[in-house]
Amino acid sequence: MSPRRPLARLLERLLASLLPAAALLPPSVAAQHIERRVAVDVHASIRIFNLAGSTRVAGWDRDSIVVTGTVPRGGGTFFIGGAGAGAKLGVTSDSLDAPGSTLEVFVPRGATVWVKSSSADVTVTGVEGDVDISTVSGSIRADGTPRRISAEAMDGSIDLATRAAITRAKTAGGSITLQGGGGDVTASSVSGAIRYVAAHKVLVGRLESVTGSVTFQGTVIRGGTLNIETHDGLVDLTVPRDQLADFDLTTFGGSVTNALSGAGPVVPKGKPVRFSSGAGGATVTVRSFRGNVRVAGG
Amino acid sequence: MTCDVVRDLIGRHVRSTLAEDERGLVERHAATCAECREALADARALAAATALLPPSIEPARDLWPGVSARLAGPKRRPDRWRLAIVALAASIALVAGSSAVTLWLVRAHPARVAATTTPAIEAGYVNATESLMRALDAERSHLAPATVATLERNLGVIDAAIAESRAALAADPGNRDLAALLWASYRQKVALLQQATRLVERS
Repeated sequence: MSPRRPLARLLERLLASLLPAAALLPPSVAAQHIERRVAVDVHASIRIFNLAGSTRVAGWDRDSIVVTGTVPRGGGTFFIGGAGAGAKLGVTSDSLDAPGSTLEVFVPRGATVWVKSSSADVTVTGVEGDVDISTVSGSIRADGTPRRISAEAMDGSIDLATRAAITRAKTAGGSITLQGGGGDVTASSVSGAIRYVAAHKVLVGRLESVTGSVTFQGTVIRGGTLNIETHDGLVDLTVPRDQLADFDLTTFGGSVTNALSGAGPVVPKGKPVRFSSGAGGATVTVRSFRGNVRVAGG
Repeated sequence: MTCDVVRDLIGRHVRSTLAEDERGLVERHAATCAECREALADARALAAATALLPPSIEPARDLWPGVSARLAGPKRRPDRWRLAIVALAASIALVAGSSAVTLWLVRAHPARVAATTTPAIEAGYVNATESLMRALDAERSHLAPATVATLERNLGVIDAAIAESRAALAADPGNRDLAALLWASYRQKVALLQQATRLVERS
């Protein structure tokens, strides 16, 4: 018998006894479950970082932050710091390929909130302070009445059902859907579609896309302005039949259809099509290089 | 209200420091005057762009000793934050400068503005985008490949639009609508590069 065999048997027994014990280890070894609470001011500034996974932020009527969620094994490390006027929390990871974490963060309704992500989907609801959301490829959704909202994605879609004094939405390849609006709204996309269904009267609207289509449905307030520019995206405007506005529509390679008056499409070849549905109203300007422009009454 | 008076008020209008009645006067005038409307739109775009800048950029120390030491010493990897901020500030300054030139020329020579200012404005945008591209290229490795692909795809879309608009404007140099479309595409390019630069800062 070899002198090494008893040692090998001993190691086998040791391993056999450890394996069942490993299986009984609590799941926290594999994933970090988070439940943290921090007292902050009702108008605190709160920065939230979560690269991958999902982040949901909800405003509530308490002067504290409560974070719950899960960081999977290899997903990075959760951190939280600050109190009073400001706090910072999130998940740090050295790897862009780390598995995604799930965070749900309750913040004071009046807080100013920054949320940054890479591929994480971000949802913000019920926050009434300033909201600033930035992602690369994740989607952005928000609702409520923030004072000001800025949403920026490189390739993700943006869906805002917010009513804010100032709204800024920008994406390169994703689409933008605005369902609240009012106030001063700017939406900008390179190749994604922009759809703005204004639940509230628009004071200033600026919608820009290079190849994406632009759809607007709503009312521009008396004295307000709506400016739309595309290179070759379709522009489709639907305004109330009693909308008072001066329309200035230009397309160089497309057609203009004024369904408000029942006129058929014309090909203006760069000459502005101007008409008014009533003096003293709003100003609607559309410029497109090649896109078709259609104005209809809803 | 004359165009001169409105143009004097536009700056304060976009900064929301006008009284309500003055604000209404500017809006009503801009609604009936295409050139003032254009000036107002330019001022708003400028205000939106400058709003992206940090409120202040404070040097941590006297920079010259460090600069001179680096000139004399071995080359080191550029600091991403400073590079990005400098590029951003440079691009905004260039766009702001060209917008200021435009506003001045609009007031001085309204009839010839579209044809005469195009090269100056375009030069400003080209300088701005080149500064940002240089800053970005130096740090491109810090972006995920998928992000770089998205960036390049959309820059290609914008460049194609710029080329088409520029060719059309060359054939009809006084066309204000074509010029506006060209500037819109350039604004998109500057904004996209600024966005990518911010991603590098965060990476």
